[in-house]
Amino acid sequence: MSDRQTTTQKIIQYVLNELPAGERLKIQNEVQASPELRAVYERYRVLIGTLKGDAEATATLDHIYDENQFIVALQQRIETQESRRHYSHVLFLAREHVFVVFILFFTAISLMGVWRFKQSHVVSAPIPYAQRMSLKRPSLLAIQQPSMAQDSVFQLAQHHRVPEFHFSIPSWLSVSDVRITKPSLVDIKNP
Amino acid sequence: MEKQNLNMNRVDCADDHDIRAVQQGDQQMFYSIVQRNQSQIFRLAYRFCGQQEDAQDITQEVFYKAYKIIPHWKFKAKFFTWLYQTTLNMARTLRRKRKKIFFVADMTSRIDFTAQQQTITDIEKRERSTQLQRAIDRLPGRQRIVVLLRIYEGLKINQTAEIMRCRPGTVKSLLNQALKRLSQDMPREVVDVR
Repeated sequence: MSDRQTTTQKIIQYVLNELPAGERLKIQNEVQASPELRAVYERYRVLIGTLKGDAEATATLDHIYDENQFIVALQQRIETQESRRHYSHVLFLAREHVFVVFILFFTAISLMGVWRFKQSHVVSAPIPYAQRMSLKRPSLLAIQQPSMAQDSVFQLAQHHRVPEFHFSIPSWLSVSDVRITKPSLVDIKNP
Repeated sequence: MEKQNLNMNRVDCADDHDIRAVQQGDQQMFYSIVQRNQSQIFRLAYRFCGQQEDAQDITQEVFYKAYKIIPHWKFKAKFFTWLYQTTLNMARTLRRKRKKIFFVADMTSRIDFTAQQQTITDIEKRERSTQLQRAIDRLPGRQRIVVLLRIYEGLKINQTAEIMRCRPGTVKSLLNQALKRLSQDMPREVVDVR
């Protein structure tokens, strides 16, 4: 930086009343000694004075600015934005979890389907046989073991001289699943 | 000037105290910060963009941002510096968006002259103010900011440097360039009449 620039900056600081006492005196002497610097000083003094005068004149903006009204408006803005932010947060969470909810729903539906499918097999397993036997009196009999059930039914069928006899319990059913809930095979009337 | 800086320091301490209170859950203290700083922020925004509505929008936006930032404030910088920086950034962005000179359009409202008060001196004053602002408005961005902060807001070199994120030497140099340009740009009668 040139000396001239530094001096000009010092003059500006001098006019702005920001120089320490020692430097202030030095600049004062320099300005008095040089007509050129005196012209620079004079120019900046008038210019800065004009700007400062304008700054003072426009410092109060009360006629176009109501502080209390501003605070009320700001409060409203904050409340609105906060509630909107909360709502958007809920929406965001819902959007994030919609996939999980869909998967859970689909899994539940599938499980229900499987359960119903198994139930229907449990119920329908002896039906063709029951129809053949023309069963009338309903009762419930839980069969502990498929093989035992098969044997006892077979014996009964033989005893009542049933000409054709088919009985099967699907192998994939567990023992506890097997229930005869329709008219029992045990009560056979008029085979 | 000294008084202004003393006020600044006092404001800064009060701001820190209120920010701590807000962080501890006293939300009402936020409005105390707003109350203390709003007129400076509005004035700065108004001087920078020259439109009352824009200045109000900027002021509201700045304080809404402050509301969001205060719970996470780390006290590494002065709060007023952050307020000034945010205001200037917003005003600059708005100005860039509009891409036109604002000052000229709304100049008459800068000084409160009611019909009864108007004298020839007032009219002259207003005319001079308009011309001054036109000249300031023609300055390049950073020079304009330096003039607004240093002369209109009365900030110290260090405070201005902090807000502008530059060195104090740069502030001195920018002010020098700005004043040189202003003295060339402004009509002599505007500068001479005081």
